[in-house]
Amino acid sequence: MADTAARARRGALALGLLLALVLAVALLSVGMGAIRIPPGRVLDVLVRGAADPLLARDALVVLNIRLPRTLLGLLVGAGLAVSGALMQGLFRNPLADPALVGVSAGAGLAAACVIVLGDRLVAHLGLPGPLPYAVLPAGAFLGGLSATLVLYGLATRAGRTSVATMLLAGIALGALSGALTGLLVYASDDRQLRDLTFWSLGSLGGATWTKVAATTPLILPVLLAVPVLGRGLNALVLGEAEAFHLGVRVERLKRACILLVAVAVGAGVAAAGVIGFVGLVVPHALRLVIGPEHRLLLPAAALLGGAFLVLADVAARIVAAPAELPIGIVTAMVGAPVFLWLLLGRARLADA
Amino acid sequence: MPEPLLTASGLAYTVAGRDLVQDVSLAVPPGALQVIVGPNGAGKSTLLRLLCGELRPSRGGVAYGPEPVETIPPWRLAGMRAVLPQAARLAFPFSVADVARIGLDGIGRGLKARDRAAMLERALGQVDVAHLADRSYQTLSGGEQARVQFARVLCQLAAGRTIADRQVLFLDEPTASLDLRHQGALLDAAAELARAGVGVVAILHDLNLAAAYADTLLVLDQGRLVADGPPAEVLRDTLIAQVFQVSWPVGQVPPNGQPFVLPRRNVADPQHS
Repeated sequence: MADTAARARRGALALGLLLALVLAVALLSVGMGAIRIPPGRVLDVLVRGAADPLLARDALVVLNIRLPRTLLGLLVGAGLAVSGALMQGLFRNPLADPALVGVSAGAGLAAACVIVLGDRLVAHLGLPGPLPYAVLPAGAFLGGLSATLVLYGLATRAGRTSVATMLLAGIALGALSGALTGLLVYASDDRQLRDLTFWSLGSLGGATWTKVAATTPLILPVLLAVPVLGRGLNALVLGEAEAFHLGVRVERLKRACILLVAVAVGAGVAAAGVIGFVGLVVPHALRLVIGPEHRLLLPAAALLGGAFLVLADVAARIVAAPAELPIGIVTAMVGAPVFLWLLLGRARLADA
Repeated sequence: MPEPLLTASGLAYTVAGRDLVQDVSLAVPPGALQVIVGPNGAGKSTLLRLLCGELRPSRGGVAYGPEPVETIPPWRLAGMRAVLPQAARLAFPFSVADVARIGLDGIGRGLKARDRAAMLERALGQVDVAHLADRSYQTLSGGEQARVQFARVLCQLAAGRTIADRQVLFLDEPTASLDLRHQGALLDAAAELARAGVGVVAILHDLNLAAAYADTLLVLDQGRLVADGPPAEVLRDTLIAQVFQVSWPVGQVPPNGQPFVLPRRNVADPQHS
């Protein structure tokens, strides 16, 4: 068909535009904040580094604070959006999001445990306190991963994973962790309560190169797997049996998606707290504009997810400057209306 | 008789103590259209799923040529056999061309873009959906969706032909939602594939369609193969009465003796039934 070449061109164009968007947003993010640095100077710093004494102050801000923050935002946003697209494809349900695999619930519970019980435990054991900060992200990551593994175990019988069981068990497990988290909230003091609230709304505020270095190897696998997973997910859109008929190793695909998502989202939650909405809205918005074909959708989601989260972070920094809003509030407040607008504009496409 | 493409021996499939398929042996020769008929719950779809490698039999085995089906990796199996499922719904608004193209994506990866485009165009034209290529699959009628799925299967066979020279096509009630013209067109296409050497196995409910198209008719009842052979030999009054439990008469169309089953109203008095 003549439209095959045109299609490939449209796809390349979409990815090119999104890449340009990512670069522009990154430049903006590095320049914006308490100290404004114009894009030209940002480029100077990035190219010539801290060697030039005239640039020293800006270089400090750019290289030590804003660059790791921007990179972390790109990474976490890309990871969340791709994870969302993968879960929607895997569950064949446009309402699925990364939280479905139990990561968020498990991570939230583990984080609440660390925040509320950590200091008491340290005091009880007579260890020198306070608890090192790294325990919280590490605990959240392990909590998310274990919740996913439990859920996966519950939904797998004789080597076959039932996505329907996983969906339902995920809701039950989510309610259970929610209740336990609530119990911990009930038992917490004011400072802990504040920590819990901020953590559950997310922030890129604590970004450091160490965090970027710790998060990259956990989120990168899901992004690198994107070119391999697209075809299988396209076939899966027809159904599991049909995907098998088309030569897809369905169980392996499911296992790979679930584990990649659990690790990536767990790492994202550990690095930046719980950031909702990105995994649900970004793939949807893209489907409305570029179509649901996964080989284009997944890389596009990675780019738009990163750009969206970094942009939200910029807004979070400047709206209430010098204070910072939790980023989860911004993603929802900006994302929800934009999403509704897209949805209503193309209502017929949303009919499943 | 040419060497069969597929042989099944002593197939049985048991779930929760119920035997859905019992002791079925059959061969799929190249170039023939075989039709499986039987009442609801006879095990037709289960048999098809066993033959295409989707289910593992409880007893017995399926082999494509000399290879047991479970030893063939899925991607290679996908070049050797294609399956047209019963109605499928999509969760996302894929276009018609997107859906058909899925049939080319895996097996046809090594093909030139131009060849793939030609295969896609031919398949869409063959099932009369070329004019719908850019429409969203979800907005089509059931019959149109079924034809798009058939185009997807034709794409898979065309791509598969470049890596496998012996192919089997399974059709699970392919005509269920089609109008008469497209029922005929789909089964004509299947018969044409059979003439080109593909082994075709179809499940049909309409005995008259089955009689018109089948080279061999396989009758399944309660999981067992109770008759097989040319339609004219298999379709008899006694078989219709025993297997389908209706007393509809079997007649023959004069020129070539093609059998037909004529429905008859059964106005049994409730007091005597």
